[in-house]
Amino acid sequence: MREPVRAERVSEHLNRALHDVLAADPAVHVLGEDIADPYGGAFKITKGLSSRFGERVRSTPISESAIVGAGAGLALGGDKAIVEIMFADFAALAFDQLLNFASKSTAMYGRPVPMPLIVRCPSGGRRGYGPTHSQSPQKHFLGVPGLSVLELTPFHDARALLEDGFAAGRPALLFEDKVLYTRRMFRDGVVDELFRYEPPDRPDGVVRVGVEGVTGYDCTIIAPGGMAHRALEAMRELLLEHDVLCELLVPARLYPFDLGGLLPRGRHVCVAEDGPAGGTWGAEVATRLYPVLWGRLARPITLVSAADSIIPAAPHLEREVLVHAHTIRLAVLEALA
Amino acid sequence: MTAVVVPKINSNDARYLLLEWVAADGATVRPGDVLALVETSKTVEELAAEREGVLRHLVAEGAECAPGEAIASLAGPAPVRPAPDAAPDAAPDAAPDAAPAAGPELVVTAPARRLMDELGIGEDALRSLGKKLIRREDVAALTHPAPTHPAPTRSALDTASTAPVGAPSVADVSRRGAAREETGPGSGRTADDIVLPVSQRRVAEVVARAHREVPAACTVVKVDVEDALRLGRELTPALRTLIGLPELLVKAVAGLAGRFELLFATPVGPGRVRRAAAAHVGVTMDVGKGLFVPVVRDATGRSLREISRTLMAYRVAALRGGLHEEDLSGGNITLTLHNESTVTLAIPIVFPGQICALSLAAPQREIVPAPGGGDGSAGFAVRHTVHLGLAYDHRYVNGHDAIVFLDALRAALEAPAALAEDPA
Repeated sequence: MREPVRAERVSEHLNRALHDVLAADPAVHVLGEDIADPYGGAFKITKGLSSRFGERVRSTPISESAIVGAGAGLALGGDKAIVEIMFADFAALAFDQLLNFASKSTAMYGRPVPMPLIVRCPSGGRRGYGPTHSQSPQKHFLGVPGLSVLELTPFHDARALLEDGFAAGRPALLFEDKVLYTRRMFRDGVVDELFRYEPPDRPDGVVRVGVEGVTGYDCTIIAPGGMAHRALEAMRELLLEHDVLCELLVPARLYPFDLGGLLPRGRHVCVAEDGPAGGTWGAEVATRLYPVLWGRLARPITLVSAADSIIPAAPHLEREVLVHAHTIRLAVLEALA
Repeated sequence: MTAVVVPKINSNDARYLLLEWVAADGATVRPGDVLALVETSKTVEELAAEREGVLRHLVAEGAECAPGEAIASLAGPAPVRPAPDAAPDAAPDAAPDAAPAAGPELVVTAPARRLMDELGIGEDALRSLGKKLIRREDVAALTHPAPTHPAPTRSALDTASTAPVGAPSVADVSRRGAAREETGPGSGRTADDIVLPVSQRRVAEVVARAHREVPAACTVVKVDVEDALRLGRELTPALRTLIGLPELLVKAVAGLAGRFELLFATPVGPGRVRRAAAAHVGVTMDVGKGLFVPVVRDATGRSLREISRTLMAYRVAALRGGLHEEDLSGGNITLTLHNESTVTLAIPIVFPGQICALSLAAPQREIVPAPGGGDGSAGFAVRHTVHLGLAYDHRYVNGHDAIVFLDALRAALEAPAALAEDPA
């Protein structure tokens, strides 16, 4: 029997996806700070692109507003653009371009205008990078008409996600939890010896993780891709230590949020995210789920998020602020107690 | 081709012993033919063919087998030789290694593992469920006997709702396979070790569990059995069956089931017990082949003669190793006999799932003041007395109930004629 080939790391997977997207479509451009070889971007996701695709891959000056504006201009002019923001925190600098130019451009010229623009944002903490390089600012971009918010996951094919984003014709942010880069992709429907997953029905659809042959669950956890490993770890502990069986739903599109016909099978629902408390994505998800699950829920949906706090640089203090597997585990136990 | 599958013979054993193949490998068998003898920790049961076919042994004599396991196959008239395994699929696979031949690799949750340890259930028993993931409810379901046959070791825990959710205490740390036999290299076994038989290990599980779970107290009364012994000597030839103190005592106990329903009840949860319709009296027997507790079922509705014949049949069966699981299950009170030689006092152990147990010591001769001569003027008499003990689960029963119950038994034994006259 041949040794199974190990699944690729998320960073390799994403790099390969960018290569494939650029190779398949000559209209695609990539812009970002320090993305050209030999550096290949702060997280090496754009490695090899500039060597292979030349001027279509450009290192830019340090101005997020200018880069995103240029990307939106490319899209408006009939090309396609992928923009890398070095740290998601700095996407705030491009907010005006996204809110008032890119997203509005789809509908303010008298006819629908496709805006194939994807802004990649490495987000999240747990690296000790401090208050301005560790945030998960997804929630600040929710509810903008014409703007999609996506998140990279270890389940979804990145190339399909990028191409689907372009095809949708509206600008999108793609958040990528930095810690995910070093983890491996899941494949073949297998998470581990315990859990299996069903692939999404569309490139940005929802992946469902559960135990084979089981339809009844104590709790359904809904979490974006960056939270998936922590949710899975919590699920393992909940099951093995406490006999609490959870399923996990991982959407690749956070906004507009749509379960695509998948209904939570748990008696309880818990939404987990790494952004700070208050006005969260989880609150949006819960609001959309309540009418659907109203007759079935025994208790309010549990929201798990980071603390209402600026993220400290000291790792031991940072740990107290952000969401970990045990945060989810305790939240579920408390809800079901 | 169909598999010959080991049925679930009892609720106590995770594994049985394939004692003997009655039907040879390759033999053609008809429905009802005995195929094999399977030994549990307590009995030997026959396994019969359900259909016609050519028998192929899959498990050797002397090997252990688990409920749900296929120990043989029954093929059509032409013997089928299984093809050697095809080469495994070479497709890369991210899944963990394929399951070992023993069955799928089980994933057992800690609460399930704790319940397994508590009940002495091994993984093999759970494999028969065909599930990969074993949760506490799966283990509990495996131990739930059919309603008509409550198992003697059923505990209040079995019927508790799902385990409360909370951080496990240090004591809760699951012990992998604590109830399984350690064998093979690394088991640390030396030539000086005495390996106890399965039946004794089963006894060990039950008494250890009783010790852990049942806060028992014990009360003892002295009973004058002079008249009861005399009655027994008279009735034995008349009824052509042995009537002794155990028989009379079972009869007396059976007659009190209605008056003392709490003592015959089954604990079903904290602060709750389930009433029993009749007394099912377990009686200890050890004829040198291990300790057995066969049950005189529905003793409440039986005559002294019937009770005596039942006990005698059990003694014979115990001698010949012919007790069946159904003989040993369903008791709701236990009488432990210590009426041999010179035992003066014994403190019984309350079976998990029951509320009390009686102990009958051996009759002693003693000099007592003659009746009516409290001041000694009427002299003295030699009488037989015996110590009758009652151990009881103090969570449900207090000393007062125990004393009233013992006193009622004492009264019945000291005026034994009524026990013989009762036709029921």
